[in-house]
Amino acid sequence: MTDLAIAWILLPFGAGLALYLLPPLARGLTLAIALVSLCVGLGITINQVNTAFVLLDSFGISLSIDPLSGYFIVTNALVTLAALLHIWQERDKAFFYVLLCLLHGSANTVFISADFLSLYVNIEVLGIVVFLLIAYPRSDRCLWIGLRYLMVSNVAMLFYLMGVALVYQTNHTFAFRALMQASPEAVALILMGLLAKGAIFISGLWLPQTNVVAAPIVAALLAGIVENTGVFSLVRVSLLHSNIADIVRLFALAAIFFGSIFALVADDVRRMLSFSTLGQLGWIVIAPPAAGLYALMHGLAKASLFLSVGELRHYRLSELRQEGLPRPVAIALIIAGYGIVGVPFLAGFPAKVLTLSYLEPWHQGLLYGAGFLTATVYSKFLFLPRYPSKTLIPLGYRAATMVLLGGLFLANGGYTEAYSSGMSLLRAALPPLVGCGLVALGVSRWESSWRGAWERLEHLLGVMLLLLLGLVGLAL
Amino acid sequence: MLVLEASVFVTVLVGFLGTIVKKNLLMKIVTMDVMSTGIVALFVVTATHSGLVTPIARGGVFDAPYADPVPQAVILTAIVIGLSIQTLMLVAAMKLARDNPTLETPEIDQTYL
Repeated sequence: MTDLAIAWILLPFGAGLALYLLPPLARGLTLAIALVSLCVGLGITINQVNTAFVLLDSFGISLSIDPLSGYFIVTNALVTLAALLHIWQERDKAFFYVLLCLLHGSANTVFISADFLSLYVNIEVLGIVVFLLIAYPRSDRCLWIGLRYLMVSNVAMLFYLMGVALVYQTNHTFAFRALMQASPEAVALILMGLLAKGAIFISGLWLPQTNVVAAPIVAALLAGIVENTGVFSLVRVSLLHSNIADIVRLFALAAIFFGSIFALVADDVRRMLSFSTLGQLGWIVIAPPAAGLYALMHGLAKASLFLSVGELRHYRLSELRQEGLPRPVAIALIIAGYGIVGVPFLAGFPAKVLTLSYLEPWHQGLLYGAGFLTATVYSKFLFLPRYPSKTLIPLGYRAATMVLLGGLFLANGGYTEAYSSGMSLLRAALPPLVGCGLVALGVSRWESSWRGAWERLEHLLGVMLLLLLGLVGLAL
Repeated sequence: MLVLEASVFVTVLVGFLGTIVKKNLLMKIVTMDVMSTGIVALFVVTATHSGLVTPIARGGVFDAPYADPVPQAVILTAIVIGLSIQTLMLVAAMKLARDNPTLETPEIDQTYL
């Protein structure tokens, strides 16, 4: 079991390095890796595997595999598969395949690591790979946005590392459970690093512009894989102790409203989707036991939304309202958008019911209210004019969307009990209806092209200091 | 020991504030390195809590309280990662410097954001 797990972890890294020397194998090997991970993830989730093993001494790397990691691994595998299909016809992108393999491998390792140090190493590797992916077109704008990402993420991880040193001081181990006996400062430092990496609330303001500048396929990888790694670590940490979960829940609630409101007034489709991501990441961490299903749903839906947006010629909503969009792309946008809203028969519905079932009544009320905001955001797609596509929709895009949306349908099986209650079905139907009504009444005209000064590098770094002070206050 | 720990925290804080206050991109990258040096030092200081000498057994016994080798070993990974990120950032800054010779971050932000 241990040997198999290690072989599975090492496979993408080995393949990534080999591909650099053997570019003709790129597509086949990447496909094999994604399929193997899909099987491993599904096996873990369906069989409810729950094991933990320590390699070497008590200081060594410890791994833990449970259904929660299974869900994240499945998301990772499906999004990688979709990205691969999307670029299948471009044979010359060997370096891109290398990065894809390394991204996939380091994300998988994050999802099963159970100690702070291997988490640090893998998140940093992931950060480097993301920088290379963003800067792949090598334009100055991409370089700057990549550099900004790398700087913010590295500073956040340095704070995290400081927290790890403090955890080791008290417990002489790096395992996750040591956080329970650690000092409040250590908890605050580690939470700050992870909140910034997971893009929760204002520490996640690096996200919108990164998604706008990055190529659509990179934005899809960011939404489907990279943000999930930060969120996953937060979920693991909040499962340790209810006090930590309380702090994280506070930030999650703030993030849900913050993200949804800014998504509502964004004038660019990509910014709208990124701000909506900020809100949805809050939904994932608010109820740690339900995080797996929600992350799976959100990863698949958001990746397919970003890939679909890549097929558009305009990004401004005002232009889209005049020019319209090709019908197949519009249909994919609507299905994936309503998947996130939580319409029955798409995975969003069981994920939302499961999340709400773990919360207290007043949290449920607040989140149900936030659901109306999300529904209004995604109802905008329904009112955009559509025309039959004149140019052929690329085969790669169609295949990738099939995989992602198919996964969105099948993930319904993750929590079938949601369909047993008529009340929740009725409640799920209300937000999309109200959202459509509000958009029809003209709410979608409240748009601004305002780009906040708070997205500048200095402000992104400065926010970390404020966040740290706040977290120390909360942790004490 | 307390003085050592205090100076480590001051180094980290100075480095972090430098990343915010300094306007030049190169200075930002250098101050980030100062911050990471502080954190490496924190791990080394943590290691000395149990003793100061290297853990070498003489005649099968450890005759003095020795320094904990684990934090020193693991911080090597962080040093390597820090070096590679530093290099990447400097390369990116080099490329950016062609069109933005002053490398003032507020101006770059205004151009590309």
